[in-house]
Amino acid sequence: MNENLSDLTDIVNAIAINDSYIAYKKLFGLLFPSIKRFSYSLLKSPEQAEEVASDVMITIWRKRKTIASISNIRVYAFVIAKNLSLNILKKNSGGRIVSLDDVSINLRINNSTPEWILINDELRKSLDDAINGLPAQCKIIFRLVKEDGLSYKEVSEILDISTKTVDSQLVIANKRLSVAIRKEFNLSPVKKY
Amino acid sequence: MEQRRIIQLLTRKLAGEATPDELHELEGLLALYPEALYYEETLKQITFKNELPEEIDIEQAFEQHEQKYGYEFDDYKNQESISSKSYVKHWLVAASFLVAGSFVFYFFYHKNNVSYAPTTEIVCGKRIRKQVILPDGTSVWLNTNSKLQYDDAMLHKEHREVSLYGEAFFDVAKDKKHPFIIHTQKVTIKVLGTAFNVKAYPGEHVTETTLIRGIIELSLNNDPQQRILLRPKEKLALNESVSNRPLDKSSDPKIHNKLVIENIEPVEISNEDYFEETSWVQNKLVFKNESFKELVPKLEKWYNVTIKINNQAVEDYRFTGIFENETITQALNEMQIIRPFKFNITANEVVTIN
Repeated sequence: MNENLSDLTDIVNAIAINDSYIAYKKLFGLLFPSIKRFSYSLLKSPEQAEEVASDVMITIWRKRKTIASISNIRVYAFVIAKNLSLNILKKNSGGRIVSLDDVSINLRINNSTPEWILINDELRKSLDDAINGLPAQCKIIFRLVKEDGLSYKEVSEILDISTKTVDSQLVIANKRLSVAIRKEFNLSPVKKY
Repeated sequence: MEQRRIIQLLTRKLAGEATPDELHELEGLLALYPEALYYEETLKQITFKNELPEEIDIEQAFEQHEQKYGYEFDDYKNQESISSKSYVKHWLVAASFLVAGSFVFYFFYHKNNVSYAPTTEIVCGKRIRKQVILPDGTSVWLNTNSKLQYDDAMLHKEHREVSLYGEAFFDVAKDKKHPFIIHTQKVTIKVLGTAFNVKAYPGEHVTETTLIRGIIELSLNNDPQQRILLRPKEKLALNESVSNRPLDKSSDPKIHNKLVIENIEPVEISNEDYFEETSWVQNKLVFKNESFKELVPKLEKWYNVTIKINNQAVEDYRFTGIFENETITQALNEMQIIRPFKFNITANEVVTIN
């Protein structure tokens, strides 16, 4: 995702300095889909996710005089989306949900890609199970890295955790998956010679 | 523990976070445990199902966003070529401004709309203020001693153009396809849907534009390339300095205008907010902590009288207040309650204060 960062910086500057409508529309195109999907993964309501993503964008516009000093607008947008989504969840649950760990996250493996046609449904199911047996925060990290292509540092800033935690949580996720893979391919556990 | 290490390194590799050393280490491990390649291949291929029930249509999403919040950014739609802020900053720092010095640009600036020829002229004489509704629905409150010209057929033109000599408050009817343009002697103002005050009396040294809501774009007639965007609650004053600085030959002799942008603050009087700059529209003269000396020209214009103060101490008295329907005598009587002074009014409306 870093490949268009300089592009993104130009866009942010055009909004901050020139109040550029065109740049704002461009930024909308770049951020809105991932923000909406991320919010949906937390909220499970397309309407609420749309609302959150729209509110995130207008927040950026309203704060445009200060956004040039923000080092990473994408992280900034995700952080606002996370907070807005948690607020909605908190309200809906009568105050029960206060952290991401209380949120239920469903990740389902996409089995429509050509590669997956060769892999049987059983494996896909056991991989799905492995992923969804993970704690919520672990799933969110896995999702942000794999789906949105965010770096450890970006994820750590969004979730307010250390990059070490991001790394270890991802390793946990992949370990669970590798167990399912090992069973499927009947691999012997790696041993020392 | 090789298994754990392989997964750890694979995880970092797939996340794009592995260092060259780690990649090297992983290569070595994969050579020793080739079956681990299955993990890599499978993990790499995992993508998630689109979580949303429907694909996102960006155009449609932006349209909806615009419906909800467009009023906050739609006004900026047509101003891509303008980098106003940097200009403004530059000017503020310089606190002075290059002026080529003439009025000629006024006629050339809109050379593509030479069609503009005013057919109607509205003049407010002394002590008269009135509200005018233009053919497009725009309301104009014309202040005393001011003149407004416009074309009756403005609706059929590309631009809605008017000329102003004096002071007026505009509440411009929204019509994005037909920009509203106000010509004054020194500045030209392009309106992007809005309410604001323009004070441009010929012969006065200051041209002032105060914006209440919306956005306007302002250009100086003698330098039409430079444009300034004004935001709500901002006032822009173009000051012509009286001195020509003949002694200072080293500096550019052309510098004799000063451009100042400032925020306007409401004046709170008996729990109501008033803007000094636009209160005349409601037939109110508002002033806040102003010296008698500063008030004299305002009172003179308001009451169409001539005021002379013969007492230094009285000149420095400071007043805050609103005048609405008071006569000059009532107004001065009220001021006397706050600070003592004597005055008399002659038949030809000359007020002498002692």
